[in-house]
Amino acid sequence: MLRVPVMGVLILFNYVSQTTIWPELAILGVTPDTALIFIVSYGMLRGEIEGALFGLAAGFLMDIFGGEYLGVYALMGFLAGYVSGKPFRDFFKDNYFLPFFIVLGMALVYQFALYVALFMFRGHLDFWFYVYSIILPKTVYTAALAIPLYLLVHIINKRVETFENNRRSLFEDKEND
Amino acid sequence: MVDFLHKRKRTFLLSGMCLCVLAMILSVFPGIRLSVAEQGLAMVVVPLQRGANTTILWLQGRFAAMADNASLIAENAALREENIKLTLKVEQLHLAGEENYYLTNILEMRQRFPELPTVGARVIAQNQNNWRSRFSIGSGTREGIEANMPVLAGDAVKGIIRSAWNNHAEVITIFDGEFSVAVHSIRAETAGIVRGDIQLSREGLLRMDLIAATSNIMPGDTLVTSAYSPLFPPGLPVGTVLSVHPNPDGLTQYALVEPAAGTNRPHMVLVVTG
Repeated sequence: MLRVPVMGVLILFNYVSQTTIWPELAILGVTPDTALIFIVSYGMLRGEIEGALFGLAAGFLMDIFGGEYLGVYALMGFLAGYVSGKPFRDFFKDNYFLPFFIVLGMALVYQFALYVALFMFRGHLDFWFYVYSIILPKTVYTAALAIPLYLLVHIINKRVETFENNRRSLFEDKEND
Repeated sequence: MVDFLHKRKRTFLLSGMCLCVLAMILSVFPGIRLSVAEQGLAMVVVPLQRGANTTILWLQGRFAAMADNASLIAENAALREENIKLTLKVEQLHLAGEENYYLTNILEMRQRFPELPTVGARVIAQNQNNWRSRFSIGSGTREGIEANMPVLAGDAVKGIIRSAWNNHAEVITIFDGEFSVAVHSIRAETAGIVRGDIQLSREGLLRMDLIAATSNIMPGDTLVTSAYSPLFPPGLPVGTVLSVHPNPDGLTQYALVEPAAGTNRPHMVLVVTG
């Protein structure tokens, strides 16, 4: 059960850094979407169910503290976690380029979905302005951070898996005795 | 648990989506909020944000002091020892000085509006995405802050409280697409609505709408909050008219406005609580 508090700490760490540290490191006025990187990385490493749960929790936190409507970020996080976990469950986990491309694609879709959900339906139809000033820079910045943050999640996941395996084998040994 | 969900993937997917959609529908109704969850999470998140913010300010001060130190050494090697001592002192005093500067600002702001009941608050976090212009302050209902209270920076309107919790509050800035305030031009005796606009915010500007076509409003006119504004006290500076343009309908004009509170991210703000 170590995984649940670790997930919680990771989500909190991400939210706090996204609202304090990353705004100071904004490039062209945009900040990276580190939540998406964590969701995609977790989904790729742990499969669609855990990825979706991670995305749901991270999304709800963002919704609670500043979302337009409760559930918008949660839904997108849930789907992002599910989709990134679905086809990539069995990929070679030390391949760092796949997460880069998945995050790149997912960030593009995610930002576009945010534009549609929060702006397009409210009559903000200057699509190319939003593409050039927010969607593209944010996608590129997010993708640039995909590999180091994936590495971080990968290391944490490895440690947790080792801990859980040791614990499991300890209990199995006791049962065999 | 996860194995159980793995066997029912389709149900899991549908349930998750339904949960989110239900939350969206419920959050449309005012008054329905996850107060307990919000307050509980805020008790953990806000101190972390405060800590991270203090660390960032400390780091910024340290880097600035280091840069000063390097240039002084290059300029005058003879003063190196003294310079290092001074730099150390500067480092120690930097945070205290910065805090003092902002508190003095707050005091000056209060003196400018002595009749307004106000609360000074520190900005602790920025908005999580670039689609909105918002920030969080480290004071909340505990200090008497509530939703829809005006927020000032310097001596001008900076935004409005969107929602307030026990120990923090979220501020919609004047640049946010959801912000609007009724204003009045003192010279031209013209009323209008100043709104935030994400496109104009990139140039540090606001938009004033609903100006009568017959109005003689012109660049340089000062805009203050109108007595018709239900949320803002009248007379607070909002901005200066930069240019005036006719609307295609021929009945109204619109103006581009330079905000009086500036475009920089404030470190301290004043919330009008009365």
